[in-house]
Amino acid sequence: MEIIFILLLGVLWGLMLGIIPTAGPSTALLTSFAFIPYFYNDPYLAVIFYTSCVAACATGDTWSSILLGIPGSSSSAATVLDGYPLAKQGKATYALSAAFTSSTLNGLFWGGLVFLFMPVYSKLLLVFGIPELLALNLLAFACVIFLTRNKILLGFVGLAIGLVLGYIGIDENNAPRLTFGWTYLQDGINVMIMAAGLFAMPELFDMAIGKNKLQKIQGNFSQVKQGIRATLKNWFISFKGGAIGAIVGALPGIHGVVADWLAYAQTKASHKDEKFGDGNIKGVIGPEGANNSVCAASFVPTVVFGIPGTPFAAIILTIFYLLNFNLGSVELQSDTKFYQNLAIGFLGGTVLVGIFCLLLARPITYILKLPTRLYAFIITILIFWSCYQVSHTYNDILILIFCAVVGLLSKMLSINRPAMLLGFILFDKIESLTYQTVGLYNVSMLAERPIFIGLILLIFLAIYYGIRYINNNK
Amino acid sequence: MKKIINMFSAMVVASLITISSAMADYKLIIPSPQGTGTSIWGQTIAAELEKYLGERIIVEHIKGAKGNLGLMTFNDKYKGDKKTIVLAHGGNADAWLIEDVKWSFYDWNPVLIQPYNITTTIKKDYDWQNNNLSLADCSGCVPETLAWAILKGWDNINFIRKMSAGDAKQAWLRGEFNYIREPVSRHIKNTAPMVEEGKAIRLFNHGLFTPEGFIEDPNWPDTPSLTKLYTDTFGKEPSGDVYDAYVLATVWREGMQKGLYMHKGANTEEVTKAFKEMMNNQESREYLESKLGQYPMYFGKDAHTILDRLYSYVTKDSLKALVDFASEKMQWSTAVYVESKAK
Repeated sequence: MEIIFILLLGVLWGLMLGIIPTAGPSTALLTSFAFIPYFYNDPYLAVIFYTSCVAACATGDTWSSILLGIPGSSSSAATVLDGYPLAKQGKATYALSAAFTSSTLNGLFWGGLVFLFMPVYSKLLLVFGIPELLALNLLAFACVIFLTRNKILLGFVGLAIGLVLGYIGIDENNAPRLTFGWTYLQDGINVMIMAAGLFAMPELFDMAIGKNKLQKIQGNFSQVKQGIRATLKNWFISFKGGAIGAIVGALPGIHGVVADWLAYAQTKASHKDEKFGDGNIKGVIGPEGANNSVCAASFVPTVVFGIPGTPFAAIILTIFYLLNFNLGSVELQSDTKFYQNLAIGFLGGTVLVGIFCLLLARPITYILKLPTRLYAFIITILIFWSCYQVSHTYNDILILIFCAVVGLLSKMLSINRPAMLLGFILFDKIESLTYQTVGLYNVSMLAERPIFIGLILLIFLAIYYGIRYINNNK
Repeated sequence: MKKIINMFSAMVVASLITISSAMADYKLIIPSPQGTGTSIWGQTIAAELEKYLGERIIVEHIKGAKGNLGLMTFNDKYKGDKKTIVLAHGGNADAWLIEDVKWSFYDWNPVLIQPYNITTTIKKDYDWQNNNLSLADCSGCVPETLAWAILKGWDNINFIRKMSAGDAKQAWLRGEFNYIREPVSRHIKNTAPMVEEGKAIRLFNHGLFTPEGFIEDPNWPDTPSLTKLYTDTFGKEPSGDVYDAYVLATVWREGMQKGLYMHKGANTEEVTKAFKEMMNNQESREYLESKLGQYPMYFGKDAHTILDRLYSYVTKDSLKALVDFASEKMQWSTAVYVESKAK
């Protein structure tokens, strides 16, 4: 009974924050820090809460994409292209219903594959040694190319800033590095504060000043049925979107936003004779298929290897660490209850939120009618409070403000923020794993490790396909 | 409207009462993240102690810079505060010896000190005398680094930089490392079963620190202290600068593995009295032993005795030997000899 209650709470919190334009899973997690102490007695319940929160948010972010024309989160941006025109044509319920069906079915299918088999994937960690972990992190680093899309220079500028920020801390001789005499910085910038500053704060700023026109839900229940039917009829588009999301999410380091656009591009490429951008339902079904599957699959590198590829995964890593679940550690492998609760949270959350969205469309829209300034203010307070929990000193707030300024400027100048976060996260890992690999292994020892060799080949493949991807997007 | 104003006023009054009562509470600063062994230790003690103190103890985690941020905050922000307690652990104690930190044990009064003992276990098939050893450069592992340097000689050690204790533990679990060092509670949970299955050997610990000095740890009668292992293996007692450095680093880390301190002039007597009552209560004592292990807790005068005993080890020669080792062998650029620390 307690599990169902926690699941319900997680879904409601995730859905509420997901509906709010541009908020997304990162903001949902950041604003729920206040709940952490309630889970100290049973941290396994927290696993259900936070995973269901992510699942609900991944579905809920479709609302503002379709009704306001503003992405609910960065990974539902492509939905706007055809979803918003459909809403303007009075087919909002039809578009929402198709999107939720696609999102829920893929969330369940790919989420099932991810979470029910997570204990099996976790065994990978035992066959991975330090060199393989280094290669995996380098692979994530190489995947930055995919994040740059057609703005290569701005992508690499973002990456460079991320690397410089990741450089802050202590060096190999235990000496402070780029800390400017500030003791607090010896631990480096906390990844959660970085993610909050880069992603959540700039969006909140937009919310505070934004004026958006809400499209009315004019449809009736027949539009719900039509939407479900449209997805079932175009099940292969939805499935392909889901598959793209799952592959992208499982690769450490590729941000969810890539999956969304890849799925949209793939849907367009498969239907060259059709017009997109004016309200083609297929343009909603494809990217929405990727929306939930990318979230589910991104748990694999985060839980198994402790490599968060997305901002929300970086925050999940911090939250679970506070609850004594050390993601990417060998000890976690034998914790079957942890894996069970991950599956309950994501799959249960996906089902519940799907039902809520399909049946409670009209009342849910009232949240979108509230002035954005109102919840921007509340969310900002909650994020400041959450970040203050990192060290319980005002240094946390100062760093959050600094990261928010970097995030805002980057957004204004179109500097690639996902690349920045990835560079920031990976710098420390790659540096320490390089020291460890060089210290423990020589070239001939590395040459005898097939997984390491395989991963190095994958890195070259990623670079090759990354360059092709950039050329195709020019 | 009047109703709303009344309600709002009631809320403000309630908030003020809550804030003022919170201000009157004791505070325990833990300079480690939530969920760590130190944090669990502090929270367990605080929850039990407040029953005898008659006031709440608010726990605040101020982590960062290997504990220095929390200790600095206690030192600066809470100077003159009568009700704030800080928890320092053995790693902080070694940092105080080796680095020029911006706080000092000399400025505080000890309330409670609990010595501990960290165990080093090796793989069954690892020939520790003849094979090279890869050793992690973790900040809290100075006594183990020195112990291995005594046992094997520094030239036979492959010192891996940028490798935390957590990384080393993962490497041990994956089979890439031949040793693991862990506190008793973790050893019982994780590695003791491997020892019982014959897959690993408990090679040494550091012994148990008492007011009379180190004794063999009665909790681990089958595991020798480093000094005993060395004597049994090489037929002579260890000596020299590295050994002096080892004794100093180990005495401080294990001798004050967990310590509670207050500023001079604070309500130390009141807290000590509560500790006495708590430890005289059989139920509380048994509860704490079940949670924190059967290691002695020294409070009041005994805590002062332990701390004075620890200070007696800080001679100019031993401190210099320790700082030189950290600086020259471990290449820690933060290692600084501060003569005023030596008695």
